[in-house]
Order: sequence, then C-alpha cells, then structure tokens
Amino acid sequence: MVSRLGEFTATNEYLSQNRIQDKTIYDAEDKIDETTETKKDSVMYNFTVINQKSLEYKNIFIDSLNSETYKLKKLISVTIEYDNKNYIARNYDLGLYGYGDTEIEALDYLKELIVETYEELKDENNLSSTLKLMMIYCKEIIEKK
Amino acid sequence: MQIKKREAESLLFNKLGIAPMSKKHHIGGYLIYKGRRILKYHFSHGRGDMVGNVGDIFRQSFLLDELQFINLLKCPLDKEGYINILKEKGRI
Repeated sequence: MVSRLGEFTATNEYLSQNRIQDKTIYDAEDKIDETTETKKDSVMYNFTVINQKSLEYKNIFIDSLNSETYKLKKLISVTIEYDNKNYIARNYDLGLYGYGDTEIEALDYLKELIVETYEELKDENNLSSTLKLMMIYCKEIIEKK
Repeated sequence: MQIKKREAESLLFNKLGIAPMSKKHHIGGYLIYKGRRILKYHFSHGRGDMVGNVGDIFRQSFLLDELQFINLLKCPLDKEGYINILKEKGRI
C-alpha cells in the first residue's frame, strides 16, 4: 500500500512536468482500494484519470508479466502512448512494444512479448550486441516463480 | 507511416527469410545472420494494417530511416543490402 502511494506521487509529478492537460486525479486512497480489488497487477494507470482527448503519453510501472512461470523482480517502467488509433505500450530499456485497442490489450501484448523474448534468448549464446543487452536487462528484472 | 499487414508478412517471411513464430497477440521472428540472432521483429495478429505511430515503431525495429525502409518494403533494397546497412551501423 505504501509503495503504491509512492507510485501515485511519481505519476503526479510526471504529469505535472508534461504537457498533459485537463487531468483530474481522484483521491489516491479511494483509487488504490478500487484498483487493488479490480486489477491486481496494474500499477498506477487507474490512479490517473485523464481526458482522453488530451492524453498523449503517460508513464506507468508494472509489477507482473501475466505469466505462470515468470515474475518480475522489480517494477519496470512502461510508457503508454495513444495516437488516436492505437494504444502503444513501450519499454524503452528492452526496446520492446505492444499495441492494441485498449491500454490493457497493449500491455498484455508487451508482457507476452517480454516473456517470450526472455524464454527464447536466455540460453542462447550467439546473439547480436543489441539482443545481448536486452538479455542482460531481462535477467536483471525477470526470475522464475 | 502506414504499413499493410500483407506487406509486413511478405517482408519478414519471404524477403528476409525469417522463420515465423506465432503467439497469442503477435507474430514475428528473428533476423538470423551466420547463425547469430540479430534483431527481433513482430506485429499484431488481429489488428490488420499498421497505422498511426505503430508503423513508425515497426520501421524503427529494423533500424532504418523512412526512405531505407520503403526501399526494403517496395523492393530496391534486398536482404543483402539491408545486412550491409546493419553492418555499417555496427549491429552485425
């Protein structure tokens, strides 16, 4: 609970530094209770209610990969972008992205891709420098349940 | 940048000879050169053509600028030429 409040503050600061307009932020504690009940692995994006028309980017942190085998060792940052046609979820550290009609769809796509990439490459030695760096970071953030 | 799904499939699985790997949300694969995995590409199964920023992000995964990517997509640039570009960029 404490960490989620901290994350809320981080989002608030992020928003205030960016050009997102017409934002309305609900009372943090109410939203935390609601979020905890409804979505166990989404961190933050339920906390921030933004006029859809002015939404361009927002940063969230995720704490799970929707995987039965793997979990995250720590929160990772994901940028959600809306371009009037798709929601795009990107993790810049891994260089991976997912997209879809909704934020959840885009996040699910991204999570699936992270797990898949980790499974495919964790025991592979013959990788380009780009994929090696990706794997180094994957090993930092992913572990078996 | 808008990219037709059919063009993306043709580029990945025919022109670049990437072995397709299909998952729940997406289909994609790795560019392999001399037995080494170089880059990963993917796109959504069910969403049809890539419109809006998705097309640009897909292009960026090839590490090409817009002109180079169009050349790769529409033919003048072949797989060998693309590999050479990646070599010049130090990715191979």
